[in-house]
Amino acid sequence: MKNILSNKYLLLLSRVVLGLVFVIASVDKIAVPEVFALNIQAYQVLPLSLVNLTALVIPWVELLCGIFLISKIFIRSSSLLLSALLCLFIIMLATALTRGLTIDCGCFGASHTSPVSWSRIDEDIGLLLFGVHILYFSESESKLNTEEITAKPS
Amino acid sequence: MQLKQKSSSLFREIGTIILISVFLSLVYNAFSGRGISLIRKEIQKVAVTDSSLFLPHQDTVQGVKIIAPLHERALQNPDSMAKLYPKIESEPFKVISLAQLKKLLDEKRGILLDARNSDEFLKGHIKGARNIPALEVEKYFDKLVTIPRDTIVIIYCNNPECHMGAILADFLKVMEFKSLLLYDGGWDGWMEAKMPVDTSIVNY
Repeated sequence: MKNILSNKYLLLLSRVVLGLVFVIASVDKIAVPEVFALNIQAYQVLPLSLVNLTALVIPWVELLCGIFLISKIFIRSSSLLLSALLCLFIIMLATALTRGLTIDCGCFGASHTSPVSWSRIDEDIGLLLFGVHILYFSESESKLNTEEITAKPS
Repeated sequence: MQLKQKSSSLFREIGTIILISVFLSLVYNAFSGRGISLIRKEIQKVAVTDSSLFLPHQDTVQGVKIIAPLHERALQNPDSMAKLYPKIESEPFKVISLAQLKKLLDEKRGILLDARNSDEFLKGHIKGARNIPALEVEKYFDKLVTIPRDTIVIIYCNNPECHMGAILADFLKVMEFKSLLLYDGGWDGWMEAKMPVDTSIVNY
């Protein structure tokens, strides 16, 4: 099982899927930050003064981590950051659902609106699995790469 | 020892990513046409009294026309005022209730603008409302500019927390519309009161 999960092609798939999802999700939020700020505000968890700053910074974290994952730079830190963000999103969605809020989830910005629902949480859990997979097994991959590089004759 | 080194480099990387993100977000926000203020402010609202909405304005007392003192008249005339600062931030939004909205609609006074996005508008809106999505308001400038500035303009979006109405009202204030009213309850309030829903497309 461990061998399968540490397969480099499977890790590549995880990186590309997670990276692409976050790159796509970030573009609209960066382009129209007001909508994302409204989405965050609707959850009613952050103080109003912090809403705009959060709405400005989070999409850039998503974009950079997504690009880094696809381009195999800072893999562990990017996957850790995205996994942390996904945990945060899951908690936010769950609290919104338990409070009975009928709001837009704000998952993909202005152009793909969808209400808060349990299926959004399922999607985030699915993505979190990709994140955890990369986080746990990327080290062995990078170790393999280093071994490959060092084994090459100069 | 190695583990400690690894985790410190991991946290350094995380710190680097966050710092780059903060830097890029601030730079992009400063130069983007759709940038937002770093600190979100509470929308200042004030309730409109029925008497100011529904009673005819009295400028005569027992047949004699009231003429305000010179300084008062000067204050009422926006052209004679020094426009050093835009008034947008300082002026609270005038908020009307559902009953006041209904009465204004029944009397066919003013126009009703839906500040939500077009998808939400198409799903359902208040009968007679025209859709001016607040985030694309610049596109509708040519149409808005034809409306007489003394027209009563009633704006609504989703609920009291929704900022779309305030964004649209700010834009219309800059266009010097004189009578801007915000229906605070918005679409959610309209639905809760089980008022008639319109799904027809209004070209505007």
